[in-house]
Amino acid sequence: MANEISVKKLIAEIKTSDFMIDCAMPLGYVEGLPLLRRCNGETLLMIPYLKYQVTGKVDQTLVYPIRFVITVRVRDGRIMGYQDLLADARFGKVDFNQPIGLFRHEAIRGWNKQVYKDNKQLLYRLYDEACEAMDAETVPAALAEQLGQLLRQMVEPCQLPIYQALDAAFYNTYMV
Amino acid sequence: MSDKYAPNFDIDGDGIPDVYSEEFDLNGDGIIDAVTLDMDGDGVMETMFQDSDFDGVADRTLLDTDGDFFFETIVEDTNSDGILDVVMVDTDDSGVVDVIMTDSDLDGLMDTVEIDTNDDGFFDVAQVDLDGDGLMDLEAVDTDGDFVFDSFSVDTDGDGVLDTAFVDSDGDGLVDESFDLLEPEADQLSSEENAYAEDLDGDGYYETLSIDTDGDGVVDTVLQDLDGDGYAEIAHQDLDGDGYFETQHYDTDGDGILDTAVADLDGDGLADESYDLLEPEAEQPSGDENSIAEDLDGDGYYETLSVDTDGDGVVDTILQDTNGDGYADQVYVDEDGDGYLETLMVDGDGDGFTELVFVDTDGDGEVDTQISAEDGESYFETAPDLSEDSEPVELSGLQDLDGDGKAGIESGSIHQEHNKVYEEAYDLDGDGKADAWISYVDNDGDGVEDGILTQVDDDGDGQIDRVVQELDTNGDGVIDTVIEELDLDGDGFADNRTEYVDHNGDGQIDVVLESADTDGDGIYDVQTLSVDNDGDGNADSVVEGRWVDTDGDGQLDTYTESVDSDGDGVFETVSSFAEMDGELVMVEQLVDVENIYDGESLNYQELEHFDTNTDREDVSGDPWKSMGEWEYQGETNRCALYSQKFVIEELTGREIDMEQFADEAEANGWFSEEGGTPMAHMNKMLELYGIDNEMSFNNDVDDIKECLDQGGKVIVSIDADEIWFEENADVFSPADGANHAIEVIGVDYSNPDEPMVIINDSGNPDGQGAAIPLDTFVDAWEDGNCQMIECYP
Repeated sequence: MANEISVKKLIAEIKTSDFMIDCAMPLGYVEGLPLLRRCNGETLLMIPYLKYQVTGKVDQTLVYPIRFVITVRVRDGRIMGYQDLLADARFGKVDFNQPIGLFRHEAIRGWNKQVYKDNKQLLYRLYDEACEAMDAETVPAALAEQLGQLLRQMVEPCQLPIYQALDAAFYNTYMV
Repeated sequence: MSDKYAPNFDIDGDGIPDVYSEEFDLNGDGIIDAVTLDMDGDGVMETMFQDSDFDGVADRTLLDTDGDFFFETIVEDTNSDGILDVVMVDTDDSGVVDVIMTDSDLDGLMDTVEIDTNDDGFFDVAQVDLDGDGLMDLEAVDTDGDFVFDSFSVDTDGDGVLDTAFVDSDGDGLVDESFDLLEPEADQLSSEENAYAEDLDGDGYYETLSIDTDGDGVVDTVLQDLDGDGYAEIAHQDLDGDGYFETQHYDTDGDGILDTAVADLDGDGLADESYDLLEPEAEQPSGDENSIAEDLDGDGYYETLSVDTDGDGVVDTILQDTNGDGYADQVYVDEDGDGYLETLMVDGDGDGFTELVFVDTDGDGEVDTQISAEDGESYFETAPDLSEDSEPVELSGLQDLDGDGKAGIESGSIHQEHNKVYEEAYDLDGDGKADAWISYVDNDGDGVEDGILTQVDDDGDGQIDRVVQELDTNGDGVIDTVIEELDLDGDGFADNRTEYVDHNGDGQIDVVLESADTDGDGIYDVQTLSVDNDGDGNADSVVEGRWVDTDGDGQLDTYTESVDSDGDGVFETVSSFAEMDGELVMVEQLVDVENIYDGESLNYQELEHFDTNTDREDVSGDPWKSMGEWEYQGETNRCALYSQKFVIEELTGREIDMEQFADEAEANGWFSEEGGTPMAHMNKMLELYGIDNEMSFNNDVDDIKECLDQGGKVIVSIDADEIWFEENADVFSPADGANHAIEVIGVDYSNPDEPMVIINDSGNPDGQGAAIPLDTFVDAWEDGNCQMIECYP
């Protein structure tokens, strides 16, 4: 049976949506690795948006804090929420225009661009499976572990505190 | 069960049935296995023939002899010779056979009768015709109902009358006493006057002989053969005739001779004298008044001496010589006289000196206090060498680590097994006191130790100040986690904890988590996580987390996380978090950017540039002219503004002041210096300056070419990294999105095999008229969903 859920597709559709244009997200903000949430019987995808700046030096691509979060309902792609963390009191002292870390981080130091893309592809497939499982209320432990393991490897460590702040349950389940 | 009436029988032929019968198939196999008959025609089926074993042959006859409709008599012909050899009768219709007569030798004569006199299902009287003369000449009776015959009467003269009772008074299985039952008044005693033999345990042997030696009608001597060897090893005597057996005699060496007597001469219930019966004149006292010596294991040696030292009638001291060397090595003492022996003193090495004292101070049955050597003698004979290459030295005497009351094996062995915990104790500094304890745990009971707990009193103050746990967390039989906790301030609480983990099972520690309670409040406030990914023994990354009190109110309110991602000892990032609603949220981050990025210009790859000698017919657009509008934006986010400026200036001929231009855009909310320009606003300044334009997505290069060929101008959004740093596969960002705006000023088809897109890139200091291979451009453009703004004058 074909997998009807495609997180990659959802993210791509948002990119070209009118909402994305109208929300006036500055150029240069790109999607980070999403969070999953189950709420009121709905499976939601929380897509963080942040900036990277390639300096041209190996492993010295600057990583900036997550600034925006768009929440999407997985089953139909409907946008359920939009956050500009600039207006979130918890991040009152965060300078979103200053970098907080570097890419490639230690865990993926040996990955070139293609390897990273391939792993990201795999990660999206795991997201798809997890979304389907969430619709059935329970993510199997093996899937959770597989998703968590790859996610923990790929997320820049400097972003972890923000992921924790955005959704502690997801963080505690998949990122620690 | 099916039944049907058998044909009636007219035995006398008078036409009147005089035998009525019923047939039964009791096991339902279709074969009749029981027939009842009313032989006398009185309406009562008084006879039943039965095939009890269902072999097709009737082997049993049941009779209702008294006509009460109950078959109380069962007769069997066990060998099918036609002669009944077993008769069973329920004489009282209780439903239980209480008499069985058996022709055991199948000679046609019943020679055994068994009688259940009390209907308990057990036959307590048996009569036997020993000589087969048809007369019972032996009767055995179970007089005490213990299902063992203990009384035997015999018809010695064969006249059919039981005349003699016999007794095996010495328990050797041979009759040594007999009594004439027909002469009850005669002297019934044999060599012992007034003696009665008893089989008290019902094993068939008389083990007790009670004797009234002085014939006063009171038994004053009792001999007991407890082990059934034919010899009495205990004799009790009431020498003063007061009815109280004050003397016990013992055969301590089992030679059949009572050799030791213990006497309670004052009748207080406590033995106060012991005597060697073989040497009655020798002084025999144990040296302690009111003491009882016991040879519990029957080896001929008294190993236990219980003493009432204060004469209050309560034993308060018990000395035990457990190894039989003649010296007490364990002494139990009831020091507080409450009747509970709460103190145990142990001489583990048998030198006559107590080295250990265990006390159950609260009397709950568990030792809670341990006192070390008091004699000044060294308790541990050899200080153990616990270095890696040595074996621990076996020591005599062990601690009761788990409080089970067992102090362990006194000597010769290390392990005291208690459930699944093995315990060892060591005296590391040789001061005679144990200061290290090791427990081995087999949690899952598979026989393989999966945890080792070591507790050490480093400073010898009696307090554990170091605890090490070695754990096999994945059950593969290999220790993979070691946790060390230190009590540095001696307050009894660990204030430093280090966890070493072999995460990948390669035998090398690769994760170390160190936690420290720096302020002694019992809470770990500093944690450092070090990871050695390559197994070279050096941390490759370190993360330190620390709780701090930022406002000085004594409460730890902020958690600071510092990351040294490359293990060089320098924290590149520091983030601070405060606890809000139970969660840590980032409140601040400090980044040592200079340590990350030296601030030099971006390391762009070298670009090609438009060859102005190219034939115009091969080029869409007018790059020759458009290149003149290019400017470098510097370290700003003004790429979209510059792209619009290029177009406006070329199409209108106006010179635009960039600062004013930026101010206008910012004032209208279309731009910010910090964030740049949202895609939605990439054409706002064009509109403001009256440039006709249209933004669209999902275009292709032909759309760009068409616009340029018509004299229009094109602005696109791209992923600039694909153009600036494409050649190095190790230089990239995780992002796949447009991050930059440029103006496309031409498409050069002069080399049909390698078309080039000519751009004015304000973000690249070398971006004037840069020539980008078409494939590369498309890759970069696709990340922006092929967005383009067509501009016309």
